[in-house]
Amino acid sequence: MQPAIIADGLSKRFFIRTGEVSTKFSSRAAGWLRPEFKLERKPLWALNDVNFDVAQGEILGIIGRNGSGKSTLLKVLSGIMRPTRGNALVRGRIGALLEVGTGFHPDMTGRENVFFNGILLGMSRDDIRSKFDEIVAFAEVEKFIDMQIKHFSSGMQARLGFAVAAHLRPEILVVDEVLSVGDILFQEKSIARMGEMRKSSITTLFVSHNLNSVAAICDRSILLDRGMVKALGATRDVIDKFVPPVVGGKARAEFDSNGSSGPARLICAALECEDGTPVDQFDIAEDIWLRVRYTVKVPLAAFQLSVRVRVGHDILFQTDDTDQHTVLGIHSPGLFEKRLKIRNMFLKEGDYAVSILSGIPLQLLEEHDDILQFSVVARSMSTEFKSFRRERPGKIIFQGEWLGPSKP
Amino acid sequence: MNSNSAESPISLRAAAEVHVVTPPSLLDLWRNLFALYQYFALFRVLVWRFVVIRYLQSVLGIVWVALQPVGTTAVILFMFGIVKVSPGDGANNGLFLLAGLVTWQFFSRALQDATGSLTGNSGILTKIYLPKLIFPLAAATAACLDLAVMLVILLASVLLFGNGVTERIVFLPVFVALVLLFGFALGTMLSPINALYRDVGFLLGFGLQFWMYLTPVLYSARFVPEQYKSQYYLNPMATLVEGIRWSLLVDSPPPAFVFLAINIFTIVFVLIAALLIFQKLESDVVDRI
Repeated sequence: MQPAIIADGLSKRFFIRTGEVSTKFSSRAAGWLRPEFKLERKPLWALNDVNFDVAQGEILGIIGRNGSGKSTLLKVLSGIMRPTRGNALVRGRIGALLEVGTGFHPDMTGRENVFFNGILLGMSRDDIRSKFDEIVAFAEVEKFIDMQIKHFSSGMQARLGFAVAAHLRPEILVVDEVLSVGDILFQEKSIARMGEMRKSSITTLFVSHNLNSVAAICDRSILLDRGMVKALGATRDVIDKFVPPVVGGKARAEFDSNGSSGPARLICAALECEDGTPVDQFDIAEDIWLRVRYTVKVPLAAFQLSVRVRVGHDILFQTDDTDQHTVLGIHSPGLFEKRLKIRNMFLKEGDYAVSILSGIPLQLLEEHDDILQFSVVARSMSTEFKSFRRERPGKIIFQGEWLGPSKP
Repeated sequence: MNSNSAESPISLRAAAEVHVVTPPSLLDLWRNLFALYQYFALFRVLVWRFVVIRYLQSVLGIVWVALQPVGTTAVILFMFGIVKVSPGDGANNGLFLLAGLVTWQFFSRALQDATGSLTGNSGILTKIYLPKLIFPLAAATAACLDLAVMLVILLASVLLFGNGVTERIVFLPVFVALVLLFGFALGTMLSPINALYRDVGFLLGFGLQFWMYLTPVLYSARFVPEQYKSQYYLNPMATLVEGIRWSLLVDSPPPAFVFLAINIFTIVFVLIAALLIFQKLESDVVDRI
């Protein structure tokens, strides 16, 4: 079967004003009136030589950080924006849902807005008329449909917008995280609707920040990084490229002294067992100690450390050092260290990554992602029949207590 | 088989089965003009929306359209009544002024609304694919509703206070169409420039006032010195205002048909230039709006 979409070297260049002052006379003259016009406009490649195919009926996920070009890619494919270079072939009528309720006007009634939005999205007047009651019922706004939508709550507006979109049947669907509208009950309804659409084998491009929903819905995915395709393939592998799995161990880390202009600086961090020897593998019944060393250059009202522990794609927790003592004292200059204990029998077997952040109130000074890595293994006991064995769901060891049985 | 009607496909508007996304090119103009035809349903709703939005939240609504030229006519008649200077050459100064003001208001409405149509709909054109030309076209077309209301008042006034209409009224739609086409063409040219530099909208408001005084709206072209007439009538609006007066008012002189031919040529030239400029800038507008 022919692919539904073929992207061939798609590139998109924007010009953005940078921090540099332009030397052109015209810019200087304009800058005299409006300071921001003085800045030079520099090219930024939001998409850079993007190539991929999408098969008929396939659901392709697009992931990447903010500003990696995901939305630009959707806009270029749906024809809203034109590429700077390259081209794409799209077989079939495309329906783009880049936001819900496009073109809603607050002074028009719900009914008028449904018609306008539906026609914008490509439905015919008769289509909308025949689906109207269904749309309104889906959005749960029957009682309000003839009111101006400025009197709707924002949740109701979003629901109405999604309801119109959910009744579209394009051949190719392009979705940009429109699922996150409305309350939790409505979100479930929307996800169920997406599932239905999935079964109807509509070719779909799905952009989301929620890696779990991408993993659940998409067969293949693309990872974009600064406009370039960094990975393309089975969703699992692509997600692993995006958020690398924790492998091996790293018990010690030195922080380089570059950019040490701040009032304080992290020097090194290490994972240790209780006696202070650095290790990257801990027994499940052993305490884990994290030691962080830092210098303070000028007297500070406060200096804060924060530690983040990740397993797989999920952040397990992020601690501060201010939980026990909320009033922070003056921090005098000098070399210091702090130790954090992660209790034994808390982390399940697995591979973990540690991020370390430092800051002063309202300002983040340093952030070191996944700077240390360690694993927890079961040496001293077998977890085979335990509730917290590795294969079971759950991320931590819960040491709750059952009471009873007793007669109620 | 699930009989739930949610499962039955909704047919989207007919579009090309295979669509090729390419870098922008002036040659896309043909495709975009053809696409306008496919988007006729949307065009109708957009026109309706332009009209509805403007008069929402006002008690008198569309009546305001008629009140503007009538009110201006009344004020000017009152002023000239005091200073006793006749502005026009027709038997009825009121009808002379009203016909000129109606024409001018229609032109400036079509031009200004078309110019602002891209900025006013940026939320739509950055989220949904549409032939962008549909916005100035719908905005200018929506001005026709204003004209319809004003024409009712104008015709009623002609019948009440004038000497009746002649068969020349058959030329009225021709002149109206030329005014609309000119307003649409200029608005189409200015709308993408306005989207990139909002200064255009401010300049236009000022420019239209200035332009009105270069056009025989509040005075008769009779007062223009003979040696300047050939330059004076290069302004298409000068001929068109006189044309509309001629087709409605018995005592109005005919427009100079030689100049009318030149003016039509000018309007067509502006239209072609406008389409090319629009096509050249529309992708920049989406990127930068």
